[in-house]
Amino acid sequence: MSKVTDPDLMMLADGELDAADASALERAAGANGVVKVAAVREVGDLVRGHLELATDEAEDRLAGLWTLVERRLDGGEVEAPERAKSDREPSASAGGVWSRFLRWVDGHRGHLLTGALSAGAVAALAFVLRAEPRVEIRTVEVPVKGSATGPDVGSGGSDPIVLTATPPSIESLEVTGGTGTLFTIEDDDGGSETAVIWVTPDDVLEGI
Amino acid sequence: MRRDMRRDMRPDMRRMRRVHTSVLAIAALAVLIGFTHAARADVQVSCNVVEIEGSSSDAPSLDPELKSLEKKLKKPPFSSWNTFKRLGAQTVTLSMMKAASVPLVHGKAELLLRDVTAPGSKKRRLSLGLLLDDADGKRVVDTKVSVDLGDWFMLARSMKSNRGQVVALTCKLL
Repeated sequence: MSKVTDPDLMMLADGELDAADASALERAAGANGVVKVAAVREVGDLVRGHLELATDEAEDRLAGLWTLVERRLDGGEVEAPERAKSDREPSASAGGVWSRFLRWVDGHRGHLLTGALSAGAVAALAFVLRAEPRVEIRTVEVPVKGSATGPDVGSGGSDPIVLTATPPSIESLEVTGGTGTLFTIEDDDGGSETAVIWVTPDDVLEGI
Repeated sequence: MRRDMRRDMRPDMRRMRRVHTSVLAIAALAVLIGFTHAARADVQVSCNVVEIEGSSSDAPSLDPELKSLEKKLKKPPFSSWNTFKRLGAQTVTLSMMKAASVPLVHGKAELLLRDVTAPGSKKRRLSLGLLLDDADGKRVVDTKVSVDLGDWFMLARSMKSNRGQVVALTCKLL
């Protein structure tokens, strides 16, 4: 072994080398190396001692956690968290509705977040895919006053209702002692036709 | 046992319920038809009957009270006359299927309101029966006509000495 490095000495101090290598390294390290190894071992002892003290201090606090874990493993999932919570937060049960609500929100944070995200996504989709305002152009025929389809104002209605006129019709005609002729007179104002039944008696015809 | 009785009664009860429903439906229909019929029976129209005498003379004239009919009277077949005189005007109220007699100077007219319809978007339409008798009581015309409410309908009759009688009528709903 040509040169002894500090990592080699640390491995020696931690007992990570086999016996042959360890004795060879001790011989090669000399007095200076032996001092370094002793110092490293002393620091290690100090760190281990500190950690043991910290563990002892934390034991009381962790005892509740272990109890909780054991109870959950035994099937007492319901009572244990509440007891643990009441142990941890003695004022929570007395905190009122608001604190209970906050606890509920805290417990259902995942659901609430999912719901909020879904609603946001739907709103965004609705906004993006919203229908453009439709413009509808309608042509309305306004009847001229006195036309064939004159406005007939219904009783009580404010808007005129356009009603179509129907030409007069003769369902039956019986003329006694003469000749009947049917005329229709067009209305100059565009109104409906006027039916005229013209009867020429036989005695008048003879006179002509 | 009670359950059996109930089971036995159930078809009868169902039948009874069906009968009751049918009776109620028929009664409702009858009431509806009755109302409709009553509503139609209540329909009344007011008809304005104008009797005009037309003739030919050297001094053409038109009765000022015939101003509303002037345009019609100046067209054929009335244009063969040039003088028009209003002999009379009467307003007659007609009820459904009730004949109304209208005395005229040259005879008599009889009006019968047969029906009033309102087909869709069209004007209300009257179906009228019209009879016209001459001064001797002889039937001249028997006709049935359908006209829109407010439109004029005219019956004309030639008389001797190049004269004639015109009966013009127009009706409106009361």
